[in-house]
Amino acid sequence: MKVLFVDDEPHVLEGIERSLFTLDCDWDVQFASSGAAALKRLEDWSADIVVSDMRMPGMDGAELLTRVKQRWPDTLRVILSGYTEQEAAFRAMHVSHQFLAKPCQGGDLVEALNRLIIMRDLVPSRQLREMLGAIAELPPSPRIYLRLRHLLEQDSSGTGIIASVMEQDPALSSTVLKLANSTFFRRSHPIVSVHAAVMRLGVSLLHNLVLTAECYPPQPGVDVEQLRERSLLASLLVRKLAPSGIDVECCVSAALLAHVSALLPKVVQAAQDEGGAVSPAQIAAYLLGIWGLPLPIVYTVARHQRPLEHEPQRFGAIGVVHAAIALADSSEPDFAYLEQVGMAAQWPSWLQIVEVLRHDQQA
Amino acid sequence: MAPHQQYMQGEAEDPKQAVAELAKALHELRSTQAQLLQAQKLESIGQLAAGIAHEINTPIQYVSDNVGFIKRCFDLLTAYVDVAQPLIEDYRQLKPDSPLLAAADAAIRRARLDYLRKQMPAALEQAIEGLQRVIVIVAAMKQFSHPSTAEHTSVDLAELIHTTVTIARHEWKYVAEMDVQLDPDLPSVPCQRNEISQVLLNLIVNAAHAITELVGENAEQKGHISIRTARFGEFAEIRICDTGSGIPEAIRSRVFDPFFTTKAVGKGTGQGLAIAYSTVVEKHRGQIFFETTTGKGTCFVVRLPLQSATESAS
Repeated sequence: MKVLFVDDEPHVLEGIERSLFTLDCDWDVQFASSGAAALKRLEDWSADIVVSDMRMPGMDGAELLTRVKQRWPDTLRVILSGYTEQEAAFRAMHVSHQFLAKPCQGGDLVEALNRLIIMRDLVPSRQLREMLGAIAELPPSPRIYLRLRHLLEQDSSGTGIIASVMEQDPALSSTVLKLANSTFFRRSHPIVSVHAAVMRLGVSLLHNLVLTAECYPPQPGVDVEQLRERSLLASLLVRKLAPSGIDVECCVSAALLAHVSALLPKVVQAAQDEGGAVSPAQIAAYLLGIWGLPLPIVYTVARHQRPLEHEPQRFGAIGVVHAAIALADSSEPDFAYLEQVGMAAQWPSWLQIVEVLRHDQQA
Repeated sequence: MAPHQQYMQGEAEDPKQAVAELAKALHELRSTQAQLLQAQKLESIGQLAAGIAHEINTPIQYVSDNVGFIKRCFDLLTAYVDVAQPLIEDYRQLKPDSPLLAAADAAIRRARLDYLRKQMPAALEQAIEGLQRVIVIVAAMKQFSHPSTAEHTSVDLAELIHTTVTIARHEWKYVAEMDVQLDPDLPSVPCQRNEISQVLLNLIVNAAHAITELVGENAEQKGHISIRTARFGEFAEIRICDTGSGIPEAIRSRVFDPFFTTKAVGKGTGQGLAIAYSTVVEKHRGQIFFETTTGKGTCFVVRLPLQSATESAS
């Protein structure tokens, strides 16, 4: 793996170099002390990951990563900054896949970058990754977006009501989970639910986030409302179906986000043209993975279509999400799997639950 | 309508009553002004702290990288020496008069190898421990200095209390032992993080001052400050108790009044508890009160609703 580190403070770069040396990282690493030097370096040395400081004289980290995004979209972009203002995290979010806060211990840095690079296993095709690497956020449903704006403009809106609107939209949910899980906001544990993410970020930050979001329209041919409704239905079903002992919040988020690649029909089409080795679920999981969402969500999204392969012994997180999505999409589940884990007999009663939920949704 | 207008326009026929009302209005104005000043001061301290945190984080990044590097290098070098020493002993058998051997012995003597082996790891451990502490303090400062947003976010009280205790360490560590016992099952509380941490800071500093008054500045016998959290019905309860001398009966009714202070000039503005009261009771619909026993100490109790007003309304 090739990693380029960029920082205007040479001691920081030397420290990282020494740290990686003794941690036995067999990465190929290069260092640049300015944005311009980094761009020059990348011309003949294509990095897998660029890790940049934010505040640098001349070209700052945000500008550097914007150029990297345009020129080398498959290169993964990480900000490593000592900035403490929320606005900085916010700016970093638009240009980078992940945001790490200084000081970052050597071991943590290695872990974060390793985590990022293994996501490539989900989408081995470089062409597809290049299409995905340039995407910073997904288009929300205009209806939900306007409702949210309206709510945020009223001072009296509490986090509870805002979260309940946000978690109706997969695109907005993925954005808040991305931001809440950056090391800037995360305090200790990964944040798996939209509700917890909204609580952590606070209303005024969300206000800025929503108002400044480039609300570009969805690509032609995408029915955002229809996608939103079935994602929401799947996430509601998870709560009804989940057996005890599984992380329900993680499954709710996974069900909500499992179809986000439907918002990117060009990428899905390209994957099909390549022979279909990369499924829409893998595309969704890759995006969520490089955005730093908790791994249990990422892997549940990636695997939900093949429960028999990944969870043959029990009806766990993958099984629940699989069944909920099949019910919400009115498609056939993997009955062989449901038989094997002893849940097939439940199917008729689950169908009734869907009908009730659909009815409520329309009402 | 501002209080003074209200009083000016009122038909005060009795001059004595008019004077009393004017005095009251003046008092309210002063307290509002003091609160505004306090808010401005906090804001500028916050901006300053955020800037300092950024400046400190960069050197901390490479200092900790380098210290970690040296520690791992030391382990590698020690492993090398462990292999080399028996080799020297073998060589002594073969060529006891070799000048190389004499040089090696001298180098080992000069290095005081046994001492290095014992002290180097300890020195590095302490350096790492010290760095960790700086990291925690800067992180706490960063938490503390976020521009005050007038909104309620979900706050983990345990984390907030630890942060505040760290920030206030300098105030209590010479006079008191700190004993923090937090209910692990307490859910997070919707509140204005900065303001509540300011309340806790004030209460901890007050507790430390109460103990100082009793035991003196550099006491041999330290007092105790204890902080406990627990669920109390629909509230999260925080108790901050000190083993100071308690609040004298004569002033118990005035402790939450603005400008009321028993501290020496320069030690307190008399605003801490007034602001605490307004934050907890008015802004959070919570409760704040104290239990005190003369000669034994004081417990301040803060109760914050587990559900915020806006949420229960929606």
